[in-house]
Amino acid sequence: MDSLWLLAGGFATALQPANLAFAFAGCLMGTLIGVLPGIGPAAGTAMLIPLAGALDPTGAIIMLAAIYYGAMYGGTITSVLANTPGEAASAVTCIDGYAMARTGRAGPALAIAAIGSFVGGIVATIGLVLVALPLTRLALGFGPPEVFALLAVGLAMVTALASRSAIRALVAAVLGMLVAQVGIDPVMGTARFTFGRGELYEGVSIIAVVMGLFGLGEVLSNVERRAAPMSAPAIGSLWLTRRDARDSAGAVARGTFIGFFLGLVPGLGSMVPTFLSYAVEKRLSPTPERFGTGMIQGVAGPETANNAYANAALIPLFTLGIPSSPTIAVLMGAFMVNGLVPGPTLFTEHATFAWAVIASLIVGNAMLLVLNLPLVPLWVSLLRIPYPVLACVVVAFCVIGVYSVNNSAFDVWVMLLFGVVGYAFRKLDLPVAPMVLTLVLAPLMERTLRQSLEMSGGDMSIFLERPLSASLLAAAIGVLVLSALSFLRAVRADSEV
Amino acid sequence: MLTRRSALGAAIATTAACATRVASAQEYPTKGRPIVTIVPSTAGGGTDVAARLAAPLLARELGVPVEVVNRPGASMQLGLTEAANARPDGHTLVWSVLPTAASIYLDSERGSPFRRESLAPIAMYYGAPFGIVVRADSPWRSIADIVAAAKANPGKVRGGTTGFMSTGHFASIAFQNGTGTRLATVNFQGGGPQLQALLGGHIDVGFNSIGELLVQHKAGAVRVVGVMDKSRSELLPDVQTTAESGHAIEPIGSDIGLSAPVQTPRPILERLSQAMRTITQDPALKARMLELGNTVTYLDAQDYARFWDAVDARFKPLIEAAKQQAK
Amino acid sequence: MTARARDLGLGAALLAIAAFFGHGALGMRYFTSIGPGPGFFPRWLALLLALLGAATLLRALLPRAGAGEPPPEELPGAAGALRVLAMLGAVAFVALAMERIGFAPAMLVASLATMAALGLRDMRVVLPVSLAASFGAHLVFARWLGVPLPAGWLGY
Repeated sequence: MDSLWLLAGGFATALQPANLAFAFAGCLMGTLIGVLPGIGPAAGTAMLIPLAGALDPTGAIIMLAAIYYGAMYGGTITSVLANTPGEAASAVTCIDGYAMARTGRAGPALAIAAIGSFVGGIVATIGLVLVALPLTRLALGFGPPEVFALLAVGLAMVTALASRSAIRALVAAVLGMLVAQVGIDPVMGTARFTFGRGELYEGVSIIAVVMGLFGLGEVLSNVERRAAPMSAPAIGSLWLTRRDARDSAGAVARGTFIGFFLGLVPGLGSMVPTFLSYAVEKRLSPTPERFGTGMIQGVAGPETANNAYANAALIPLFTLGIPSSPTIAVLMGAFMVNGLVPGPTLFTEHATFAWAVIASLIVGNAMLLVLNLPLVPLWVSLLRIPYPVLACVVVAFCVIGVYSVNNSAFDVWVMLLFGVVGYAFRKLDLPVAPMVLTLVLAPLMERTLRQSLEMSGGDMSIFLERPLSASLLAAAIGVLVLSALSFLRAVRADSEV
Repeated sequence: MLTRRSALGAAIATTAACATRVASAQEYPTKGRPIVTIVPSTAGGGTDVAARLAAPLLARELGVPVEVVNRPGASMQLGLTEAANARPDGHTLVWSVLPTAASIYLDSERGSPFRRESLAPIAMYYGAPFGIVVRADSPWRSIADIVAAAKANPGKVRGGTTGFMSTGHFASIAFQNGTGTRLATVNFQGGGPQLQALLGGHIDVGFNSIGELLVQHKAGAVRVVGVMDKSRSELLPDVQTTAESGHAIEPIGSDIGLSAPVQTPRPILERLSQAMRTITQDPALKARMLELGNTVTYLDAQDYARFWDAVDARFKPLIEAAKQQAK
Repeated sequence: MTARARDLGLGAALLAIAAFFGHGALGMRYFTSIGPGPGFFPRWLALLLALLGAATLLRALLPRAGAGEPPPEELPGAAGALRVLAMLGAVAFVALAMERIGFAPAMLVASLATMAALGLRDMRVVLPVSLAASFGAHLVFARWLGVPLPAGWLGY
């Protein structure tokens, strides 16, 4: 229980007025940055690295970490209010979060996201204190074959995103995978479908695609119909009802679990945890067909998983000194600018600092909740803004966000193209979420497949010889069979009518 | 044949050009106008951290703010191209990373407009030598052990890299070429994922810049068994170099310098080169860089250009080999 | 637009997209010594998309196509289509102009145009919102938060 004593010492540092102020400033800035669609946690944290060099190390890291999870939460706000996710992982929140806002329940959606994020963040941080080392050892067992198998499970969940027609979900999924083929391939460095544009070498900017499909696509289909959505939707209750709380409790618990464990897996990204949580909630629900119409579980689960993931992903940085995502890599750079090298020696050489940062994660998550619950009415009241004004502001934010990722006007054109695609998807009754999921997962799958084969010298049996990857692949097949069965049942029920 | 008249004309033109160049160099840097230095990779990466350590010192030296701007993408092609196309007035510079910058144009398939001639080298800043690394519980303690294992099981020893056609990949190829072995090459996306796979036992040996290995080595999680350099690293005095191993392994490392758009007037380049010389003598900077595994090594514009040409010559065959291996 | 017409259009579009990617993939190496090459996935994905496109077409050609499904989205009327085009034009203008005249001036023009196209004519609202979305946003994001937005006239 030494670590608890050290943690107590950490609290003493984290609760010093100056550090509290840094945490508060970080949460506030993070939320504001997150509200700006497109400027996700990675870009947001990177922007503030120069600032970090000017502050004392502990304060700087506390603030950057607060910005990181503040931005994670901030992205939810625009997902719910304007169907514009701050980053790809929040795309799944749009499905039911935005549907809730349209039926006047934006308040409960934002409230449960804040509470879920808090629970997920706190539990993940406590996990960091108690079980960090053994768990990271376990997570290291995830090599390329295991990550590939885990991604296959994620891909199998595409079917869970289908609303009515499985074929239409598949169409969107395959289109996403084809878009993902653009760029240098992971095998031989061949330029695929880049039209000779250097901007496309590393693939289509995912943020630009997401902003286009969701944000701009939604604006386009709204401005087309002047009548209904031009006026703001009614604003109903701002707070969770007893029923909401009961409905979401299980989702929050499961989301915490999913986010925490997947956060430890190296190189997985935040997409799989959020989508997996959504799929699990839909699967467990007695009324899966109502998902997509504003089910609070569809917000509570993924949002909790997202923040639990965000905090758990810090664990490999602290224990191994290895960044598990681009955002964490940026954070690691901030450590280094301040002369602190994260990794196994951090706890021995800079113990005070390390424990202060961990304590500040708990303080910061609490602060984020305290900061955001009172702000819910303010965010919701943004819906009263006349739609032309809101459309104009959303477009401005989308442009800023998309441009800032690579400082490239080319990406704004990509967003424009995918805005048209998103608009067409609505007209064609195609779901957009599967496209985003496969766009993110396909390159990871292709890369891990190649790495696995490189490990085995081209022998496919590597996936079956390793118990973990074999069982995950079995699970993926199980999910597919289950979906196929329920699809057949639906068809039979249809034909009997 | 030149007539006397046109020769005279040319001479006058040259003098005039020199005069304007001298004038612009005296005014350089324009007071109050910041110098933008482009880092062609992401914020928080090795080059970025080193650039951010140098920027305030350069600013003090030149009397104007020096900004660091990240322009990542297409393995540095976007940032380098942007710098090459910038106004050649010495207010837009770029941190040029070798051999990555060279592999953009040495790989003809990429069809990149960025060439060796697109940039004028100003000065070399630092080098980050690569190391050969195994897990701490590996039975291999020297380069000879790895060679023996690889010879006993051709194509079975799994060797990670920091990415397809990355410097780590060239390091792996150089090792295989120099020792006459063949590894099962596994390409990861960067040093972090490679290290993770090494710690998890998914690869047997890795190739990475020693700066990224230092913490793990000190903590006893991994063991650096070789430094791919001609002389031993100050940071790892007990680790043998590839040169000592008796195999003809090319030395491999990342070397970072400062460059400008090619049309930048010579006096401006010289002014900047001088500033780089001054800051690279700063003991505090040297110490911080050493902690990160970087050896501060100043080269002036001519020597840096020569160094760059040598990199082109050395890496061309490694690039061909890397592509051949993927087929 | 009937559900049948919509699905016929979708099926045809999918076949065209599949043809584009499939054709491109044929020029890439299909297999390497140890596994799928760069052309492997595009080829199979294009085939899968072509199958899905064909299935969509066939279903649309069945006699009872679209029966029992919710009615499809309406095509926009002339006024609606015009507003959509205005919105797209505004974003295209910003993409084109932001690196030439600066983010703020480009966004100012685009905001004024969009709000006019969307029927908001009250200058007491339009002007402050346009200024906030352009120069205000530049001030906050470029000046305070350090987002590198392209600057144009007078540093905006």
